[in-house]
Amino acid sequence: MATETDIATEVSHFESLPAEAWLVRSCEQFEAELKECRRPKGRFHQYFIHGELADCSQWREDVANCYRWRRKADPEAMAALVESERARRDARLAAHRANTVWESRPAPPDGWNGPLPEHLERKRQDSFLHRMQTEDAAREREGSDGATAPPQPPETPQRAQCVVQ
Amino acid sequence: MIIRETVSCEAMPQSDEKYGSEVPQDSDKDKCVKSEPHDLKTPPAEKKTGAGDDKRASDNSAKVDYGYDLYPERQGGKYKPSVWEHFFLHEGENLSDQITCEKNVYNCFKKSHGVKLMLAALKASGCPVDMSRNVSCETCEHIVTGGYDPSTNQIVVCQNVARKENVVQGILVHELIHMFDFCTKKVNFANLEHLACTEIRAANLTHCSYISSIMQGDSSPINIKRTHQECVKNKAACSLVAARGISKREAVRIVDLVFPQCYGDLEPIGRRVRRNSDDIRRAYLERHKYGYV
Repeated sequence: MATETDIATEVSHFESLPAEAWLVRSCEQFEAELKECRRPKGRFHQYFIHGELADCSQWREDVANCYRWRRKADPEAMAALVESERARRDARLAAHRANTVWESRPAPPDGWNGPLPEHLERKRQDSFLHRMQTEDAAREREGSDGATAPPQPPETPQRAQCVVQ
Repeated sequence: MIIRETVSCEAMPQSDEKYGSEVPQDSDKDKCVKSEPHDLKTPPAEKKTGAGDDKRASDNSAKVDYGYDLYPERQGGKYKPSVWEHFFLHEGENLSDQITCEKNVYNCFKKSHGVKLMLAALKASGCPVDMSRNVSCETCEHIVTGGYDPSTNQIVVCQNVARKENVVQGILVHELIHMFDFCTKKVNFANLEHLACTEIRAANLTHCSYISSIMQGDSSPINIKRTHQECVKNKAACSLVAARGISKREAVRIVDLVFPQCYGDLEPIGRRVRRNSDDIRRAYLERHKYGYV
């Protein structure tokens, strides 16, 4: 329920959201990241890995902007948040793309979950995991009203369009 | 071939000996061995005196087992414990161990944020993981705790070594990283550089907390700054020695070659998780930004 201070949660403000607003995490998550960045154990972790202390100012700015958006629906605050999240995402993906030891696959390997050798398939059929999997699938097929839905055909694995390559 | 997992790295015996320094050729391999492996019950062709002895290196071209000897159940064999192992280590209780192991695996698949993040990343990459098809609890030799078998696309969890849920969780996340690399990149596990890179990434993302770095000999209370890298390099080099039987010097050379690129590649977890923190949960919560849903 929207309180007096949470103007941005009103439906009328959804239309003013930028296209990449889905990148922005909640204010509580920003606070958690800032806390982790500044706490002694977090500082020790930074020194152990990087040999220096991290700059937490961007997290602090993001927390402030997040609450400014939440309480006053400030579009500049939201724009700054989107920019910050995009920069963070780009930096992480740049490091991944800079790894040129190997090439990317255009598609998953052939026969990803092909048939197992006979002795392994026999072991699989007798396993606790297989039994639990069957029970979970049966439970999912039964709806909340107790009606049994027809079994669905197995999905053909597809690579999501937006996944990192 | 099978990617062996979590071969314990012996601490470097000389405290002033730095990683990558010149070491005598005949002593550098055994630094990666926790204990002498048992005489193998299967296959009979190979008798080990050390995980990295010269016999393995010289016979590597003729022998194509690539590590299956430590996982006897992979090729239909069965681990036969000695009398000592049976009565004092409770080895041979295969069914009981298997059910405990599978329960731990099931709980990790349902509850662990690290495992769920990896599963989401693999599914989004077109490589869905089937709990019963892709994970196998088996009895292995004691120097390994798990492995990844690309030929059958299965993660092996050593039920006689990994008896606790948190240990199983670590093995699963580590092996799922190998699986993720195999799914998304043209990884050739026979290529030492590729193997080194995937081991660097797995050690970087799932191991080498400060405490384990101290136990491995790469950090100390007065040597903390940037020693995480040394721990990752040492762990990856030890994995190469154990997997391929090459010398430690050669393993170090290969790890150094690919380290800068592979150390910075943190996908799909995206951060070096601090032990006992909320990092992995926050990494799981931001997975949608990278398509891992």
